[in-house]
Formats: sequence, C-alpha cells, structure tokens
Amino acid sequence: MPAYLGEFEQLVLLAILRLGEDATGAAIRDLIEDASGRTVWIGAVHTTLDRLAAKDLVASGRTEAAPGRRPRKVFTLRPAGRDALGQAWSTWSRMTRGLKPRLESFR
Amino acid sequence: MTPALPPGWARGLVRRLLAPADREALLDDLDEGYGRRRARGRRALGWYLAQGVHAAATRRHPVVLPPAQATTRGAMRTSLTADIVASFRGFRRQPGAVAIIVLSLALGIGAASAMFTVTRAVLLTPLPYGQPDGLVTVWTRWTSFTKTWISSQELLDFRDRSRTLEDVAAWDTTRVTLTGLDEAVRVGAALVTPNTFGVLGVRPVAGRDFTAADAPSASDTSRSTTVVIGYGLWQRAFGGDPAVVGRTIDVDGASARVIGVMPKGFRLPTDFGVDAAEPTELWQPVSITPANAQRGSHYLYAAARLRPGSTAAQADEDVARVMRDLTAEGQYPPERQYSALAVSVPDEVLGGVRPALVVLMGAVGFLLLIACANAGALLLARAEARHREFATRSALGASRFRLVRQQLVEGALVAVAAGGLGVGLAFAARRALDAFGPTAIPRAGDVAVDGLVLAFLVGASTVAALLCALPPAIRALRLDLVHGLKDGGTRASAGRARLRLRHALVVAQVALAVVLLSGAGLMLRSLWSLQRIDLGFRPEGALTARIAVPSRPYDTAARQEDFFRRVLTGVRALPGVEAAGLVRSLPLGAQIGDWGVRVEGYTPPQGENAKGDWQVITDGALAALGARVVHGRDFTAADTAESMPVALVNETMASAYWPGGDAIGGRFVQGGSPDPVTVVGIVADIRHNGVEAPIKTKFYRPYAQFAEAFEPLGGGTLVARTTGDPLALAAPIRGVVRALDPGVPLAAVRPLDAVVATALTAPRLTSTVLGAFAVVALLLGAIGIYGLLAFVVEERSHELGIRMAVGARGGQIISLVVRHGVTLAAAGAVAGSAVAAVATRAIASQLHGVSPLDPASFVAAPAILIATAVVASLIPAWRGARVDPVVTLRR
Repeated sequence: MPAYLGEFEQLVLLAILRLGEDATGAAIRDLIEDASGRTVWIGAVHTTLDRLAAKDLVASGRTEAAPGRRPRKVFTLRPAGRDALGQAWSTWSRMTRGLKPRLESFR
Repeated sequence: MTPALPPGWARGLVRRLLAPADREALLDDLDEGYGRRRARGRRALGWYLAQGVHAAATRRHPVVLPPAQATTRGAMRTSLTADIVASFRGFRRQPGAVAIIVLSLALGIGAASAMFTVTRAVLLTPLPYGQPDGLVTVWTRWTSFTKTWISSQELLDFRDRSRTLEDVAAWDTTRVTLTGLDEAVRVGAALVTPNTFGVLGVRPVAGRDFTAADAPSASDTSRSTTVVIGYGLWQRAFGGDPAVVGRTIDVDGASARVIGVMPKGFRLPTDFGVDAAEPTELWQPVSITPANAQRGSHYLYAAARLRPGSTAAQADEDVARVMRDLTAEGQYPPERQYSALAVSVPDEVLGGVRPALVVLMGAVGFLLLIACANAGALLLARAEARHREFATRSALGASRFRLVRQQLVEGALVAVAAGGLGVGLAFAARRALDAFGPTAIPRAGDVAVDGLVLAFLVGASTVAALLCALPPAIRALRLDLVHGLKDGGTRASAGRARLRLRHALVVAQVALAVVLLSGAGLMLRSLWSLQRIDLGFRPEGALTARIAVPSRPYDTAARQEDFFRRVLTGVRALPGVEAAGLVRSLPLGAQIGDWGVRVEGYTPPQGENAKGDWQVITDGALAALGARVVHGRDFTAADTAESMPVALVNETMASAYWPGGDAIGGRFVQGGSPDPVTVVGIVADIRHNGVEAPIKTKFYRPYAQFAEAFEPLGGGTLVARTTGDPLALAAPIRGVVRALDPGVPLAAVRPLDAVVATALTAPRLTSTVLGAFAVVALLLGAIGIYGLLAFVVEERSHELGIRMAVGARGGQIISLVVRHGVTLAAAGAVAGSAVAAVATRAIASQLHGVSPLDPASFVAAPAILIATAVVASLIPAWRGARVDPVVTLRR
C-alpha cells in the first residue's frame, strides 16, 4: 500500500515531477507559491522534503558543477514517491468523477 | 545575465541564523529565490530576510532529531532561541499592544539620542585647541564697560607682570575682500599676534605657523605680506589645492603670500560667540611692541595660556591685580576703576548654552524614564494576563530562572526594536534642530553620529530594556503557584496587591510628566513675555545686508560717502522700497559699545562719566528700521560733513543728561573731537545688545559727519523696508551694488525679523524642545492610564457585572472607572508638582518675567494632565458600562 500523502506533500511531489532535473528547493517553492497564491516558506518546503525523504518518497542529489555555477541540491522522485503520487491522483480522480461541472462553478 | 544576489550583510546575517545541517542548501535556495524576485522586478530584500529568519526558526529541529548529547551550552542556546521564538509568537498575538510598547520606548530612546548627539558635539567634544582647559580669554572692565577689549599696552603688561599666564596672544577681527580669484570673496579675518596659534596649541595642517619675522616691524604701518588661511576657505576658494601654500593672493588690494592652512574645525575663541555669524578664516600677523603699543585704545581680543598648575580663577584674580598695580602707579585714573578679568575658554565658548543643554538633557532623561515606566507597565500587563500560563509552566517544571529570562528576553526584543526605531527618530530630531540656525548653538553644526553616540544609543536601549523588563520579571519571581493556578477561574477579586506595582508605575509616569509639563509651561510663558517686549523698531518687512568697501580705491571719507549714497539712491528707487539706510551696528544683530561724552550743563556724579552707545546712521535708516522719532527731527540728506554737527539721542539718554526735558537743542562733545554737536531729535529706546539686555544711553551721529570728525567706517549694515516680501529684495539690491562696483560684496543678507528670531534662539529652543518633550510625556501618561484602566475593567468585569445585576446604572460604572483614573492622575500630579517645585529652580536663570514657581504653570500642568486622564479613562469606562451581567456572571 503506497504511503498516504498530505496536501502540501502532494504539491511538493507534483512540483518535483514538473521541474524534472531543475527541482531545487527554491524552484519548488516558487512553483507552489505561483500556483496556490499563498506565501510559501522555504523552511516549510525543506521540512516537507525531509519528511518525504524519511519516507523514502524522494531522494536528493547534486547537480554537476559548471563554470561559474555552484553545484546545487536537487530532488527527484523515488519509485515509492511515484506510486504515492499515482495513488493520490487515482483517489482524486475517483472522488471528482462527474463533479467537474459543479467544481468548475465553485472556482 | 547573472542573477542578482542579496546584499552581503543580509546573506551573512541569514547564514549565521541558519543551523549548520542544511545551511548551504537553504542559502542556495534563498539566493535563487532572491534573484528570481529581482528579475521579476519585485521587492526582494524583505522577502529574503523574512524567509531566512523563518527558515532559521523552523529548521532548528530537523525531523530526525540528533542524539540527545547536547551540551549545557547548546541546550541553553536552543532554549534561548525558543524564548525568542515564543516572544515573537506572543507579540504576534497582540500586535497593537506591542506596537505601543515599542513606539513609546522608541520615542524615549530617540529623543534621548538626539539630545545626546547635540550635547556631545557642543559640550563633550573638546574645543579645537591643545589642552583647552589651560586657556583663558582676557578682558578689561571699567566704569563704562563690564567686559571689553584690551589695549595693546595692556597685552604687553599682562605678558610681563602676570604670574599665572605663560603667554598672551591678541587679535583684532575685521573683514577683508579677496580678489584675483574667480569672484571677489568677502571673509572674516583677524590681525593676530604671531604667537596666537602657539598659545592656542594648534599647528597648521599645511605650511607653517607665523614667526615674529612675519609681522611687519613696529615702525612699518603696512600690513604683513603673509597670511594663514582656514580649512573652509582653502576648500571653498582654492579647491583644497595643496599648492596654495606659497601662492600669492590679493587681500583688500594688497598682495600677500599664503604660508599655512589651519586644521579643519579651527576657530578663534571669539568665532564661537561674537563673530559666529561670519567666523574668521584668514589671519595676518601684526606685531605689538613697546614702540607701537598704546594704553588708551581698547580694540584687542586676548587669550592666554595658563602656567602649569594655575587655574582660571587664579588668573582672573591675577589680571585684576596687574590692573590695580598699574592704577597705583598712576597709569589709570582711579575713579575709572580699571580692572581686568579672565574667563576659561570652555566657559567663554559654551557659557550661554550649557545651562540650556543641561536642562534639556535632564528633561530627556525624565522622558526616557517615563517611556520605560510606560513600557514596563504594559509588559507587566502582558505578564499578568499570562499569569496562569506561567503558573502552569512552573508546575510542569520550568524554573523561575526560565520564567524571568523569558521576561528579560521580551524586554530586550522590545528595546532592540525601539532602539532601531529610535535611531530614525534621532536623525529626524537632529534635522528639526537645524531649523534653529547654525549660530543658534555654538558648534552644533559640527554634529556627527559617531561611535560614542551609537554607544549611548545601545546603552540607553539596554537600560531601557532592563528597566521595562524588571517589573514583569519581579512579578515572575514572586509567582504564587497555588494562587496562580486557582486564579483565573473566578475573577471576582482582582486583588489590589497584584495591581500595586502597576499603580505605582502609572503614578510615577504621571508625576514625571507633570514635571516636564510645568517646565515647558514656564519656558513658554517666559518666551511669550520675551516676545512681547517692545523692541523699539519693527522687525517685519525689512531686509538687512552687511556691506563694506575695500580700502582701495575707497581710501577717503568722501569716496566712501559717495559710494554708499549712490547705493542707497539705487535701492530707494527699487519698486516696493519705502525707506533705506545704512547703520553702523544692527540692533540685535551686533553688539554696541559706548563712547565717553561731555554733556554741556550736566555734571556726572563722582566716579562716573557720561557716556552713550555710539550709533552711526544715514538718513532713512531709522525709517527703514521702523524706529520712532518721538521729538524733534530725523537726520536728512542735508546733514552733511559741511553742515552743523548734529546728533539724535535715545529717550534714556535724554532723560539721563537733560532731566529738565530740554534735550533738543542741548549740546555734547564726543570724546576725542573738539566740536560740540547739537541734539536735534529724540529716538524711542531700542533693544540693541539683546532682547532682555538693559537699555543704555545711546546717541546717533550722521554717517557723513562721523566720518569727517573721526574716521570713515568703510561699511555697515544696509536696511531696506519694503511693502512686499523682504527676501524678494535680495537679488535687486545685489544688482544695484554690482552695477556700481562688482568688487563690493554683500554678506549676511537676511530679513530683520530673522535677526530678531536669532536673538531669541536660546529661549525658543528650550521652550520648543521642552514643549515637545512635554507633549510626548502627556501622550505616554495617557497611554499608561488607558492601559491600566482597560486591564482593571477587564479584571473587574465580574464585579462590575454583580454591581449592574444589583442595580448599578451605566453612568455610575463610568464614574467609578473615571474616578479611578483621576485618582491615579491626581496622586501623580501632587507628587509631580512637588518634584517640579524643586526641579524648576534649575531653569530659573533662563526665565524672563516669570517666577520659577509661576502659579499659572503650576496650576495648568496638573490640570492638563487630569483632563487627559479623564479622556484616557473614558474608553475603558464606557466598555465597563457595557458589561453584560448575564455573560460575565456565567463565566
């Protein structure tokens, strides 16, 4: 059974998926802030990443050093993370099936 | 393009805050975020700091806790961090209350720092001399003068005969015109004895000091061919060019070689006082020897270096003895009572403002205390509200130390915030002081914020933090666990004991505010009475400018006379000009001294001689000043060198020497001239040497006749009265003068009412600043009373509910609460008035026409405070009256 994800955890995992190789903490934060319109604290992002790493859902690595550029800490999805995200998406899809017109009207 | 990086200090700060575990990754992320925000044109620095601080606070404890091996030191730091975080969280719950605490402290710290900045520059920064405490100024006095110049022979006498003076220097100030530069420059100058800079203990920063060889020999009457210039003039006129040493410049049409430049900030002692408006910036040596010295002509300022071990008081006695000896030897007529005095240079320079600044420093200390009491009372209120929380924490094992520390941390955080805000306020207040003008306070222009000022700020903030955290900390120490936990369930007994400390703080605050209010009231009443003094002329609607001609080509009385006549004709032809004239000494703008006279038909009492302040004016000058001729006539253009010698006298002189009322037509002889002059008019008395200075006998001579009988004055102050804005006349008048001779500059162009305002600067400064302090104190007092009563009403809501349930009406509740507030204010007012009765003696010397125990001030101050207390009580009272018995009794 894949791990259960909190909302912010889902957002962080989605951000990593979307950013691919460029998933630095800062990029993740910006993406979530832009999408949600809420203030997102970098400390909170790292705390969540720590928790996800502890659950083996993400892994961190370092980018190659390039001229004039420091190596950066970046995050990738572990297989368990993909499973958990897939599970969350399925749950979401099932729960929203047939509700789309009404949900649209709530926005 | 490389992305923007945050400023180094911000990055360094955040780096220090972050825990080492993920410091680098977080810093990278923060940098990236900063760069992106900047790239999008958004404000990034505040964001960066907020994100950094938040990350530091939340990331202190990573998910995977490290093994519990933390050292005591580490634990201490962690729990200190926890205290800080807890304080911030507490502050966020009550932002309004915290803002008031911070603001009131900031007002106190800001005001104190601003005052200290000025005090430091004026009183604490050493004067620009070597060992200024070893310097005295030397003056003479006799029946005509209480403190005046010395003569050249007296300079030599003091050098030879004094036992306390190592060396004596002397100078004569004047104004010269420098030509041959891009434009003619008019500067203050002095002819100095060659030892002057040596006596003052100052060496030039470039070039060399004068030697005796630089001064023209005793037989040579021409000026020296060497000059030393001031730093300011060097920068202004020569662009700070080091090659100026050795250069030849034109001083009043004679060429002279620059041999040295004095250091920045150097001034002669007289430049802080009588010559402050136009300090000397160019010095030429003059030699005074037995061959050319004169005893009768007093025109030199003098300063002397004390012998090691001698004091200014001893020197004062010593120079008086020298004069006594000379009188005994027959050098002076005994009935003139010739004597001399020595004043230490620091007293000479700062004597006038020191008392005002000391008073204001004391007042600002009161204000800081009030602010601390206020913040302390408000913090205490917060602590009271959290009484139960503390009791619980204590029961769960928190040590008293932890609880006290929490309070101290809160106080420190508040003080840091207030200190930061206070710096801003201090700068703003400094700028406000500049509005009083550069000559208002000697040396205030040299004000700078430096290490000592910052140290004072940090010190004041620390003291403030401790003072305001003390009451809640004491409260935390005296925490009664059992009561604390039991309390809060029922609130029927608010417990007077618990409120005693807060009551005491509010009363103290009110008392201090009453002291400040009383002082401010006295100063305002004094200023008011000063401003109602009849000056004898009309300050509004007139422009003044100093004008002087160089001695070449204006070397004769006729040439000068002709030039000034043409200037006045030109000025009078300007549109809007009602009258214009030239005066030798501008009332309240320059000091006037007296001249001995022999009045026909008047015999002075034994030991006295008739004298009068000597004023020289052209026709039109009295009309331009707005002075009144009460009898007889004013001077006219017909009073020339060739016509009958005439004079005007003031009312005081008329009644002193012609007590029969027959002054007009009376005659007197001005000392040194053989011809008697006839009085043709009486002028209303004018305040000349100061708004408060006593009015002395004074006579006026026409410019042309004075120049003929004595010597041409070479200049004076041009006064022009206009129907419009006086300042609008400045450019046209400059135009008139330039058209006649571009080499004649105008200086000190200012409206006459500005001259008067400057004369009132010290009382205006003291009353304005004290008044501002008093208003702030009043505000803080009101906040204190409001805060306490709001708390009391909250605490007593249960009791108030019971009262209402048994039939009390809203009005009764309101009067109950307001009475509480008024009682506090009255207690403070009584205590404060008692303190004020003693404290206001400190300003007695600065009061004019008001007793230090002036009843009006002593009634008004408590009355204003009690009225404020009523207003401050009304909101909590109204809230108390709206207590719903059903709700409060159910709680």
